[in-house]
Amino acid sequence: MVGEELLRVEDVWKSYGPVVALRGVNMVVRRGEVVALLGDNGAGKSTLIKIISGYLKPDRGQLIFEGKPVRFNSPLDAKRLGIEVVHQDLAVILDLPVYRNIFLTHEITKNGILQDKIMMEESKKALSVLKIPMPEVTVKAEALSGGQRQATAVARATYFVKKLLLMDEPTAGLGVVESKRVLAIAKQYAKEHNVGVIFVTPNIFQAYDVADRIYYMEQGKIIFEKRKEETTVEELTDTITKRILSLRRRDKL
Amino acid sequence: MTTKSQIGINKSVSNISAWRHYIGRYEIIMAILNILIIIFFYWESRGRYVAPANIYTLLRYTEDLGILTMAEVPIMFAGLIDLSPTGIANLAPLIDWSLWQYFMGAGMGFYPALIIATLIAWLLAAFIGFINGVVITKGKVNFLIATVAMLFLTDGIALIGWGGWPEPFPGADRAFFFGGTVNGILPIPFIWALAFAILIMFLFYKTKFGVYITAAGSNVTWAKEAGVPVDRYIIIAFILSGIAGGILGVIDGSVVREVSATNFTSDLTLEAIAAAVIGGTLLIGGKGTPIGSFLGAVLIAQLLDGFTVLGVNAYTYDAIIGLAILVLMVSTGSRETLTQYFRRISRLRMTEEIEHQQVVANWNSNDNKNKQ
Repeated sequence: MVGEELLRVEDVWKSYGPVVALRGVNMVVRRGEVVALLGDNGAGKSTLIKIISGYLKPDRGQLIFEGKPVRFNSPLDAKRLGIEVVHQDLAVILDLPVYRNIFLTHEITKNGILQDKIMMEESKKALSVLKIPMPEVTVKAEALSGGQRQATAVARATYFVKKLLLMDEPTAGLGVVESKRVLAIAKQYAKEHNVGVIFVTPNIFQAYDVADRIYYMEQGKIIFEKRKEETTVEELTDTITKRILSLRRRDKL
Repeated sequence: MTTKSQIGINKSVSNISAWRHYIGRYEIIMAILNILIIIFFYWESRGRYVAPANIYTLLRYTEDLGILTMAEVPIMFAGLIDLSPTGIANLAPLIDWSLWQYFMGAGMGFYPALIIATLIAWLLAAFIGFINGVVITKGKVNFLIATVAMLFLTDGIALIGWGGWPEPFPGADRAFFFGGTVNGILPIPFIWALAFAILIMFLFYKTKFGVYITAAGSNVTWAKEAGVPVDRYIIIAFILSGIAGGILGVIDGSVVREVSATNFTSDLTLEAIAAAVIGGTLLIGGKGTPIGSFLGAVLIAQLLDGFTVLGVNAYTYDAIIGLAILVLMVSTGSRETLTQYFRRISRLRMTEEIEHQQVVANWNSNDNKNKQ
């Protein structure tokens, strides 16, 4: 059951110098639902995620979280509201061991002293959700394979998320079994933990599989929004392909 | 899908006990190197090296170098360096001395005046470090430019305010806790340096400071994306470096009984950075070991002191130190490639052996066939 409105993105604009990445994006995520953000590379999906996660500030527009306008000065502000993110580049620090990566910015301390033992134990639990073979949590992240680093990033976000889970192409480095696992986790957190999930992917099949609603982005704008029930993979593929081809013909791409 | 290398990793860290986290292969190598050098100098100097008077001198060298090395370590972990601590070491004791004179003139007692003046001087030193940190993180000024500018600024203010001539810091030597000696062998300044080193190690290994500064140096973009307050912790590292400069200036100045704007030169900072690198903390950031770097400072201090004891010509002395550092760095850097080289060679030999045996086996079976 989909609950009340969790996040509302209102007319958000963002530029990197002369390049306009987001042109007035509007979007809604509710508790207990998975929303897919679909679009080609360069559409602005990651930029939007970086704004919602607090890493970037919008040039124009605002974010409304649980009915109140919010301004994030850093990702820590977003985390305090219960928002966690899996970045496209993972943001896993290679010179730190796995358990310190999982607890990065969420360190367990007593009187300022790191409680390594507890963090190591809990890290193992956080990683077990994904069922990916991992070495000891004391191993430095640089010794991990790409898939294991991705598992670390996903484990970190899912372990700490309270209200809104942002996943930016979280299956990019994963094999078939692990990818299915991540999709299952996204759905599980929405349904069982009443968390809102934004799942970014360029893959129409994945989007249709995981989401209750799908937003399609192109060149910084939301082009359309469809609920799963009102469309099919074929229709989405058809619509999107036609748009891209017509844009190419008009030399817009 | 556990690969062979992961099995190897599993084996080496599966039974990790607390100390194993801090003392690894590199730290042990540094300790062994230091012991070897003690033996070398002891032998070459026919025992003079371990005479009490020289132990005292050695500890003084270690203290000077050690404080700056430990101050640089967190900054190097962040991928930066601080070239200003010696300027602060020149300026802080002068401010301390002037304030102390002023307080005593206003009727305050000897010790209270000294303590308060020193604390104010150190607060100022910390503030200078704070400015360094802010200029670099918020002002986005390159760290070399910022800290060199601060070095010139602090040295300049010291010269302008107090002239180039040394001021006597008398009576401060009456303050045992600054310049005294225990049993004639253990200089109090060394205890200060050791305390500072332990503070840095504690902050680095046991608190978020170490985690965040490593993250900042490893990949500042990813650290910021994860929400690590990178700027704040870099500023903290520079504040600590400023305090180190303050301690060095005041404590060291108390022993020498005079302070001047030219007491410390930037040579010391460069030696401290070299000591940190030899000890295992790299300049690229994110990698290193505070314990190892402290042992690196001990090593350089030993080289400085040992060559003096051996009466090495002062002119050739600099060249020898430079050469020694180079040799150590090259051999440290290539140690891994040497091991990899031998592994590769032995693997090649093994495959050659197997192939050779197969060839021999083929000959034998062919011989048998021909005989039949």
